[in-house]
Amino acid sequence: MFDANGGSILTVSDVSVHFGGLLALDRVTFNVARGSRHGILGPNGAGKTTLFNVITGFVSTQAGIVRLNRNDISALSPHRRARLGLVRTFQITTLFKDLTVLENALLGALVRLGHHRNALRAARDDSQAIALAYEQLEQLHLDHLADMPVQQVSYGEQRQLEIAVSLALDPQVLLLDEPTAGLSHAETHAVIDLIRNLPQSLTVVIIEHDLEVVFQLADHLTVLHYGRRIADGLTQEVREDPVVREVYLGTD
Amino acid sequence: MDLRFWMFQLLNGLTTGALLFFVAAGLTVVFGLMRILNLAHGGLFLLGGFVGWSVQQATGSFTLALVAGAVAAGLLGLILQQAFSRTLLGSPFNQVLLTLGIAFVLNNAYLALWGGAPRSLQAPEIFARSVSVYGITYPAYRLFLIGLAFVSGTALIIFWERSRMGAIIRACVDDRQMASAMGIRVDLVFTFVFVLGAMLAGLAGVLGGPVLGVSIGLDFDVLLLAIVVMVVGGIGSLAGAFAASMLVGLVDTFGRASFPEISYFTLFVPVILILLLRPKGLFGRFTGE
Amino acid sequence: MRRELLILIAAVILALLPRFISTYWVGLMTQALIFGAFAMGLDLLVGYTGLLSLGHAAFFGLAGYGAALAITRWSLDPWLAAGLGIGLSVLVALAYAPLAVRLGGLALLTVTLAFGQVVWGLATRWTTFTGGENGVPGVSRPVLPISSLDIADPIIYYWFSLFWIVLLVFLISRFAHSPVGLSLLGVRDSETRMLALGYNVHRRKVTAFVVAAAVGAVCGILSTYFNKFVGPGSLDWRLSAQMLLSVVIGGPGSLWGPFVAGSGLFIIRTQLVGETQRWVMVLGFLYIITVLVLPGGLASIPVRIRNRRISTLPSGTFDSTGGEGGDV
Repeated sequence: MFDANGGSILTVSDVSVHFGGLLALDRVTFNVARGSRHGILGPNGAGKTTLFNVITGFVSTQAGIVRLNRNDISALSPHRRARLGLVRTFQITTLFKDLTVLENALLGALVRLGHHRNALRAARDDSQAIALAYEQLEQLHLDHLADMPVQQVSYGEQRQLEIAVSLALDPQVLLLDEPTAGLSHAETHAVIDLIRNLPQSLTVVIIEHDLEVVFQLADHLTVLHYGRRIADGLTQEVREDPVVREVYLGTD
Repeated sequence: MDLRFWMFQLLNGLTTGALLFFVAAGLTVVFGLMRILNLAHGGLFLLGGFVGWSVQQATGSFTLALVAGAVAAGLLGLILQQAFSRTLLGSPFNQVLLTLGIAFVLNNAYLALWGGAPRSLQAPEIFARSVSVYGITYPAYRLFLIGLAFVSGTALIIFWERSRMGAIIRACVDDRQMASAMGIRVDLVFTFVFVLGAMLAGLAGVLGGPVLGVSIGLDFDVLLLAIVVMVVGGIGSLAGAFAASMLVGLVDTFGRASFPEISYFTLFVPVILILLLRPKGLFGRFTGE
Repeated sequence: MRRELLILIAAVILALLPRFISTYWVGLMTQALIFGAFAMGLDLLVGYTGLLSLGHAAFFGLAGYGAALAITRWSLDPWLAAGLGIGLSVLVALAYAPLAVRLGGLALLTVTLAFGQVVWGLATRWTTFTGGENGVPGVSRPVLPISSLDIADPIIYYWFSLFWIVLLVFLISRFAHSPVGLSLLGVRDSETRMLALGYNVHRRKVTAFVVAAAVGAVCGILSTYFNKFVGPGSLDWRLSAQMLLSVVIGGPGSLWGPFVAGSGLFIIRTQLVGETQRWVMVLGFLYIITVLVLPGGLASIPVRIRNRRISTLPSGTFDSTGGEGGDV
């Protein structure tokens, strides 16, 4: 149907990626509805992170199309996609570890305000950007760490900061790659609350290993297995899907 | 510019290429193996030259000079590798500074020990004459060098490709983690290769003595050329280093002969183009990352 | 504001210096400041962006040669010639940087070294145009707009250089603390994150490369006019190496450290060359000692002292500048 994906903000159509002889993604297709909480599920090596890399442009597609708001973005570089509002986090924290917590958020805020090309005015004197960065930290209760170098804050706080930095860009779609990986029970709950409290207008795509977390957060699920989509639909439906139960849930 | 002129240049180019190969082999394999750009490699070359010169002065023997030069460079290589291996394996930043620092110290130490006057080694008695090849008269010693490079180059490549030790080294070059997971003592392999590379460089210093002379500054000239060879040949590839040595020797010689005004251009512009357009080298598989 | 005040205070002290030192030392100080500023500019590339260059002398010398040749061969006004020389360097950097910075780590080091050698080779071998090893003598200095100030006077030239260097330092400091400067630190720490935040990482690297080249070019002009001469020495890769060392000894990313180290090394060098022939060895040992004993450079000393007091470990600024391979 022509308007089958009318409510979709992000569509992935027939995307394939090879690494040498290995087929990492095999004609994967799915849509992400605007404002939804979309989970990407799959065992290790299923191609979840590769899928994120393709969506955000870190890996180029060898076949297939990625669309944001119906515009083909398959050929755009990662930074162009980020500017269009497609912002991701990484599984391993990629924060700027020699900078302070505030400076990390500031790098995002500057882009959002379009001040990132300013070469002669001190970033510290950009009260607008500082305020924005601070606001972002406050929202995630990280403001008390503002002047700490990132390498001195705890791992759990770093994971939250990853999200804060991304949010500073005011994304349309936020892609979270295993946001609770390596976190303690309490820290995991903090991150879940954080994601739950994100504005409803923001679309969130989450790769997650922990089924508990996914079922709590996602309203929609896409399940990958060996680079193929084996299920896609509402969380409740996918949970009951016999194929999914066999390859994924059954192994639990 | 008759044919004999070009023939002469061709042989000169191959001579330069032959000497380069001995220097570049160690440099490129060490880089391939441990991602270490050893900027002190030229210093090892020059140590061989100076020690060789001293030994020849004392004994009159070129063979003893060869042995002494190679052993001295090998020993220095061993000392450097043992003393600095921790830093050498650290960030590229530290490596560059450390090996460059060592290169400067060695350069100045040689100046103190052997003085600034250029020295020259005598070619061994049997080669101290000229022979006729295709109508030109050419020093026999240089022909010997070309022959030696081809023979030892082939031997080294066969060792590299066929022997057990060669297979172990190649495994380490390809994937250090995997090799060590297979139980290979990568640190020992590294020491072996580093010392072998140093000995080859020292050997080249002595062998080059009758052709290039032995003088302060030659260490950096040779180092730059060897880096060019490494880039053109592809990092970590012996066969690539051999082909690239000959190519660089020829380009450098013909460049100097044909366009003396811009001869550096003819040598380094191709390097820049290769690095920028084909960072794996003309023959190799590895990038300089 | 505090930073700018400090620059101003330093400038005033330096401006008063000729009252207390001999003419010989005024000349030395002129050159020392030039190399200090050169190293400071290189810090933007090495310390801030984490890219290694062993070839920025090319831009120092290229500007000097451009201006010197324009003055001696085409009788161009030295002011215009300076603009021409700097323009030449910046244009070459602009053309070359986009290709070069695609390479990282040691490959970038190699390609900058090779490029530096090309320029050096042209200067030494193309004797009919560049004067070869003899360089280009007889370069005239610009005439100052105030006729009572004679630029031939060493003190006047010192002030002339100081004026430009203070301006340069002020601009570098501004640039370094601007959003663009912050983004360079971001690129050093995590390229992928910067891409994910919407920064054009490649363009940021090019910017750092070209800005460092432009600073080098201005320094090259000042040095050429100081000597009234330019020779292949200004393109020698050992000059590039010395600048790189200045950055490292001074403390990458601290800006003031490389400035102090760049100036200090020049002075130590001239004093040692006068006394002995051991400059090269001293330089070499300084490299080794810095790497082994003082990673983080001069700038880390105050930090170390402060940290010792509150007994936390010093942060590993130095290791992270090497890109991969830091093990902090």
